[in-house]
Amino acid sequence: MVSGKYIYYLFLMNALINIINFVPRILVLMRFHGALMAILIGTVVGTAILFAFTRLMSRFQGKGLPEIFNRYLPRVFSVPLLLLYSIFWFGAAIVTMLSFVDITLRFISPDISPYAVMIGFLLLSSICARLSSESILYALETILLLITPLIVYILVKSLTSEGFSWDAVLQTITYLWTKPNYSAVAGATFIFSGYMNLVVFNRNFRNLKTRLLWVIPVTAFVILLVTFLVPIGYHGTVGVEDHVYSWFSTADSIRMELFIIERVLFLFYTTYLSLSLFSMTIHWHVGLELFKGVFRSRHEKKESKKGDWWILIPVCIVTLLLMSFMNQVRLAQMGQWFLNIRFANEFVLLIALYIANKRSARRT
Amino acid sequence: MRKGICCLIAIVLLVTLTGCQFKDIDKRSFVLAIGVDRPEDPNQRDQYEVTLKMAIPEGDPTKRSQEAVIITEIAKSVPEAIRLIKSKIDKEPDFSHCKVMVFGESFARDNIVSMTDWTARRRDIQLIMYVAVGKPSAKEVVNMQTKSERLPGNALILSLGTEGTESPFITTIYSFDLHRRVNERGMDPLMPVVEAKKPDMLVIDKVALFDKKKMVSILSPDETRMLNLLRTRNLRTSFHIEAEGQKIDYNLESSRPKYRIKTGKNGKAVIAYKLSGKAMIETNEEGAKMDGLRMKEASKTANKRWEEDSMKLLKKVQSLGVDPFGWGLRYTSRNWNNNTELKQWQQLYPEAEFQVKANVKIQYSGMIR
Amino acid sequence: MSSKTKKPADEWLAEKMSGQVDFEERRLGPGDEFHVQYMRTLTNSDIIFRFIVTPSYEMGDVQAFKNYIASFPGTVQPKDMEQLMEYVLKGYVVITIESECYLFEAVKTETSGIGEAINEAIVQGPRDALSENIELNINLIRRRYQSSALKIEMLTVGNVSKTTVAILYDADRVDRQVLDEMREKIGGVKVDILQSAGELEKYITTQKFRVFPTMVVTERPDRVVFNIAEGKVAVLMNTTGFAILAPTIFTDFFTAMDDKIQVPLVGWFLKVIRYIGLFMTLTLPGFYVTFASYNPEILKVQISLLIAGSRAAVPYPSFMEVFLMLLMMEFLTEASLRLPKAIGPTATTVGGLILGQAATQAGLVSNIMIILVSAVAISNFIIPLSMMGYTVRVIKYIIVLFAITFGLVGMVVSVVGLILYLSGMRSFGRPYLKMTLLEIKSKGERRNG
Repeated sequence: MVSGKYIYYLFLMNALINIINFVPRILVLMRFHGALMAILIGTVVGTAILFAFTRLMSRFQGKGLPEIFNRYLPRVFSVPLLLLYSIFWFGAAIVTMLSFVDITLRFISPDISPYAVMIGFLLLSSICARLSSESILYALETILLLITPLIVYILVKSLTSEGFSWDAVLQTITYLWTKPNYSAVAGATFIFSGYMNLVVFNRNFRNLKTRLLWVIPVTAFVILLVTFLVPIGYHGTVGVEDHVYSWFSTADSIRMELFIIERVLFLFYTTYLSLSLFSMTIHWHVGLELFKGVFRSRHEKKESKKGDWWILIPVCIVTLLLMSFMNQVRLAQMGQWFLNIRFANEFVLLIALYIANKRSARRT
Repeated sequence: MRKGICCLIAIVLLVTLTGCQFKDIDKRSFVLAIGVDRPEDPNQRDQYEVTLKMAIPEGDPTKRSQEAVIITEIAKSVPEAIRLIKSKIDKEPDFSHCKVMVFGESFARDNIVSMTDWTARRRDIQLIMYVAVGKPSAKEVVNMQTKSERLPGNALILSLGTEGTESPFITTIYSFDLHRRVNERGMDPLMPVVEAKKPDMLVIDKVALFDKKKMVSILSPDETRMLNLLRTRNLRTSFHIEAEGQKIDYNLESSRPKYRIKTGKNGKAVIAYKLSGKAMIETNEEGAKMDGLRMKEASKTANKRWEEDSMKLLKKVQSLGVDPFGWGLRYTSRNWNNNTELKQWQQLYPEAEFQVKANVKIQYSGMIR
Repeated sequence: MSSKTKKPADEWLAEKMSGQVDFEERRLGPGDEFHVQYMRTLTNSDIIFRFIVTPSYEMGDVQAFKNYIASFPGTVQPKDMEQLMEYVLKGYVVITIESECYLFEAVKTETSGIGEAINEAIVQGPRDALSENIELNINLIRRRYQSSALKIEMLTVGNVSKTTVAILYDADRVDRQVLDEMREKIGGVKVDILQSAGELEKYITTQKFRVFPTMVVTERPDRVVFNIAEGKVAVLMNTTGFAILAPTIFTDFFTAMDDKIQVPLVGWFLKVIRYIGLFMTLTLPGFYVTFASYNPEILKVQISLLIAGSRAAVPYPSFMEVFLMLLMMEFLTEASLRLPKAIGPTATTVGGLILGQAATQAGLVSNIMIILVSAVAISNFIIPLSMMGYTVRVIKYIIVLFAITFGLVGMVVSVVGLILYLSGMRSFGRPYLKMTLLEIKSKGERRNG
């Protein structure tokens, strides 16, 4: 059992991760077509889902999604749903992995074989995903405490640097009153989905009631604005579109004059790589637990770790196969799909939980 | 124990997987500056003349100067030229430490877009690279070995940045800024001009203005200083003023430019600058005691000079039809009619009027009165 | 004093001390008139024998003996029960004669056989180390921890060696689960010979493959006392001057006993220094390989060229250089450890001179490598407990290996992996690496200090 503050860590991890690839990309693409409005709508919708979700989950104290579904939903629904979500979580990890392998090749080591990097990531996530949920939360806390100061430093540095153009930012803000499309809103709500990991981590929370839950929407809104506007401040309202990884290019445009490392890019890369590794591990862990939940009968409680590798190894192989036909365009497309499906999926999850909740109330 | 063995096997597997992509630091030669020109030969006018200045790592780092290798090559494109250069040198050129890119004057007058694209596209070239225009050619500038430099190209790096000398005539432009300005609506590129003076001097006191693609004009040193005063905060410089009974040099301690774009009476745009600053007297040739009253007079004269000079500069920039200050961007950012604002500005700008209100306060007379 | 309480003092005491293995109770005198109670480990048996036991039989007369005892300058009559307990735990003997209580001073202050702590030397503060005699050690600890809650349980381990093992804990503060687990594990040890605390530690850890120590092995009684007060379990062993403390978490290995003595700011600074040292010693060699072979673009131009320049004469790749020098460094450390004191300095001189000067001049290693290796070695020595120091020495190579294969990516992956591994570890059910524990502990410290 862990204290309630770990919810914030789960949220914070996703919030920080969202800067890496797909979210800034969709927002930047939509900057003249309602990205800002999407952020506003996304914050409202995301907050609503967040509150509804935590509320529902707190009804099932100490239970994960597999237990809830297996217990309160008919088997016909629970099995496909769990399977779907498990695949979905594995997919989330795979998307992060693929984009980080791509980033690594692009910015850090173009000479290393992408498969080697991928295998490295897979090994780490697979081995560590088998740790207990509690351990993963502790590790998450450690890494966040180590890394957040660095990220704050990078942010402060980026906002105070001379190259930052507030005019470009304001120019983007004048496009506020534009109707956003679904993709942009889906992208903007991604930041909130850290709490979704509760589907498994809820097992470890005794009490989900947290007083400071309102901090989350505020932080999320600020982080989203930063995600979207800082690259524009550096690369201009037009030029920003040219950069494939807008935040990495932005980090490369900031300079640390008085340090042994001059380019902020590397600081940024290191911090974000470690964060992504964590996010991969957590997603891997959640995916694994959900998948195991499919095979667990209604009353079995004891957790077993025997079959883990029989699930993880095939997933790893699928990841490697996926990578072999990935390229820049396909990856971007896949990321976009992921974001879009994820948003819809959250509603499905909410509905399923709501029904489960109703049924459990009737039973008692 | 079994776990340990598994880990070991995994590591060994990984080692073999990565193979030998190992290139040690001493097997690379670091390109510190690139120069790009159009060849002088009229038959090759559409080709690229690329000059690389590379540092060769040498045994004793404490020695006074390290050798630089400078290679020039002409080819149809920049990558082609670099490939040709590679065959002339035993170590792999590494662009990740390239700090300066010099565009030859001839090249800058033609079209710089191909190069800004190249620098932003290549993964290993930093976005915080300094860019400059080289006179008479980029090759001459890159070739220049000044006496003071210990690292190859260090003189260029230090003087273009602000770590070394802080001259009011130098405009620091990074390559991400250049790339942005080339693309941005309502903002045009500008670059400092580096002149190679024989035998071993680099002079940087001018700035080149560009429309989106090519250089349109080079400003004089005084205009450059004024431009920097209008662009940046806290410019470190001194000015000379002469009026009746006064011959004073004052040193600027802080300065701050501000501007707003207003709509004038007849529908014209008015770009209204406010320049404020604090200054200290550096020389006083007439020798009259500097009391408060005289300092106030001096301030008045200084303000008049600033207003006249900046007015002249602003008019000149306007007549060139370029926008190094980003007025257009400012205008569009303050207007919410997104579809029409840019066109509006394009109509407004050639007719726009300027106002400059200078407010420099000479407050200290230095150590003596 | 006894008038106020219902129960006579001697019965009360006997009840209170019932669980203590070193509590002794005797009836003396021809007709068992005298009731004597004391802590064996804290009192001098010689004094008791000479001044209490012998006279008690020789005098025979109750009143005479009472006067005789009262005549000693150190003898006191306790005011209340608390004082009685306090004196007993100091090493006084309780003599009850006709329900009158006398406290007879027979304190054993062990000085012989107690050496100075060498392995965990500190600047200020107590210098005593545990001895190789378990009775003596208990005396040392009892003297520092005068509470009746301190419980001692004795066990015997080893079919042949019959080593006495004592489990010490504070009954009010100890985590029962940990205690039970410890009892069970020590009880389950089946060996012939048990001679050192390190051995015992190995037998009672459950993990088969382990990298980090989950128990502290210390030679300082003050550390033992401090940890008992924190609710941990200490295990003492006869024939060895070391105690085992459990459960131990990662951060415990980075506290020196000095930290309590220092001004808070200094203590905090020292702690930060240690973690920086840990980070440096773990990552510097890896970073060198990364910078020299994979990503020279990370550092500033000037530094990159400096490294490149100093490596220019070196005929093999950077990782060979790193491994060579690190190995040499390990040899040097090991050699100076094992050599007799008289030859010790020779090893360091020869090693330092040859490795430092000649190797660079010959162009076998770069100057920067030498600086780096010494930095790695020095920062390794900062870690206060040598067990952790050894582990870190090994872990460093794993990180280097990752750096060789993947460069910067490998570094990050290995460090993240390390954090996850540490978080996954448990020491007697307690999480090994957990940030919040740190916070709580520091608050506790402030309260104590």
